[in-house]
Amino acid sequence: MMAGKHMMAAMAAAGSILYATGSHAHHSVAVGFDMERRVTVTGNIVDMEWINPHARMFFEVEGENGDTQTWIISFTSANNLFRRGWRSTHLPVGATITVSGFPARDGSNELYAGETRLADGTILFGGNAPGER
Amino acid sequence: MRAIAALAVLSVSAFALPASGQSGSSLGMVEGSVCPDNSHAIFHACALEAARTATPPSTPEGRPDFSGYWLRRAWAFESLEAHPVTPDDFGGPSAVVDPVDGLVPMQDWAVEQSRINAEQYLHHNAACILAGPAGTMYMTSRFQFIQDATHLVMVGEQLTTHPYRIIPLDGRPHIGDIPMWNGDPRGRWEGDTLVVETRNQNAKYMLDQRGRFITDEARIVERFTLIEDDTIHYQATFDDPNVYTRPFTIAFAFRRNVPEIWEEACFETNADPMRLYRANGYRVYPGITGEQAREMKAAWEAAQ
Repeated sequence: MMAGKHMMAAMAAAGSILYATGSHAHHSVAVGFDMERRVTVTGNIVDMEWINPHARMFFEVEGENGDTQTWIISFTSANNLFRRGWRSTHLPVGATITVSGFPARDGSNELYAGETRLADGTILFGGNAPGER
Repeated sequence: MRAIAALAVLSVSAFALPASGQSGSSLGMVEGSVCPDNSHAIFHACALEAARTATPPSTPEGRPDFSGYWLRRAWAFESLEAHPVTPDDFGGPSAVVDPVDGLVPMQDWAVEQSRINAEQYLHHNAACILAGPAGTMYMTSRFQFIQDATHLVMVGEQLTTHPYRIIPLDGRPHIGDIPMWNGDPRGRWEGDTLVVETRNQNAKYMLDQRGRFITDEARIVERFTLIEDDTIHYQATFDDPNVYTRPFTIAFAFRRNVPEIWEEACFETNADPMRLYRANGYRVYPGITGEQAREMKAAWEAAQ
C-alpha cells in the first residue's frame, strides 16, 4: 500500500497536470509531462509500485544544497515492464540508479521514464513503446 | 550512502534507447504470413485477395475458429488518418481504407468540433473508460477470444479498463433501448466472415485522440475474416450521417498465438489524477446525441 507521503507526492504531481497544454497533448502522459525535454536524475530507490497502466517509483536524490528531494518516476505499465524483462530484483529499495525521462510540466519532482541505468550499468527502457499500446 | 544528485536538463536522451514516440511504427511483415501489415491499405487489399482461397481452422460446428490470443496491429487510436511520429505520437499510416484517400469523410462542422474536442476534453482513456466496439479493437493491443456455437467473447488486457465484448451468434434480436458504452452487438455469418452489427451505443467516447466522434445514432458494422490460420482481416464501417459525408471503413490485422493476457487494472494509477481533474473542473469528453449534433451543425452553418 502506498505510504502517506508517497500519496501526497503523487497527488501533488498529478495536480500539475491541470495547467498543462491540451491541444498538442494527445497521450495522457503528455498532458502532464513535457515530451520535448529530458531530465536525468541519479538517486536511491525508496519504493517501486508494480501497478498499471503506469508503474511508479519513489526515489530520493540529494539536491545541490544538500536537501533530500523525493522524486516520482512513472513508467509504462507493470505488465509491459515485466514482458521486457524487468524484475523486482533489478530495483531493490536503496539501490542507486540513474533515470532519464520527460519532466513534469510544472517543474515538480516527477519524471516519465525513459531509460533507467542500474548500478551495474544495465540500461532498462521504461517508457512507452510502439506495439505495446 | 545517498548518491549525489545529478540533475541535468537535456535536449536529447542521455542514453541511446528510444523514447516514447521516437521509434515510429514497428508494424511489418510477420514471418510466414501471406500479407504484410505495415500499411493498413496494403494489408486490406492483400487480405481481400487472400480470403478468396483461405481455408481457416474450424470449430466443431464448422465455423471459422477465432479462439486464442491475439495481438492487434494498428495505430488508429492517435488518429484514424495518417499521422507523423512526434515526441507525443507513435505515428502511423491511415487506418481508413474506404475512401481510398485514407481521409475520414467528415462534415465541415464536425472537423471544427473535433478540433474543439481535442482541445477541451480529456481523452476517455485517461479515465479508464470504454472505447466503443471498434475503438476497443484498436485501443487494446492484446486479446483473448473465446468462442462456442452461440457466442464469441473477446477479453482485452490493455487500456480502457479491461474491455470485454460478448457477441451472440445465434440470431437473437438486439436488446434495444439501453445505451451502452460498447453497444449492443449481434453477430452473423456471411460465409466464413463473422459480421457484427452494433447498435445502442452511448457514443461517450472519441474515436481517436484528434477528437473525432460519432453520435448515439451511429451504426458500426465489423467484419472478422480469417485469411490464414493465425491472421484476422478486421474491418469496421462507421455510418453516421450526423457527422460524416458518407460511411467510411478502417481495416487492420490481428495476429494469433501471442502469450497469455494478464490483469491490467487501469484505475490503479489513473484514479487519483482523475479525482484532481474533476475537482478542478476538467471533464472527460461527454459525447453528443444525434439531436445535439444536428443542432450544432445548424448553428455552425448559420455562423458561416
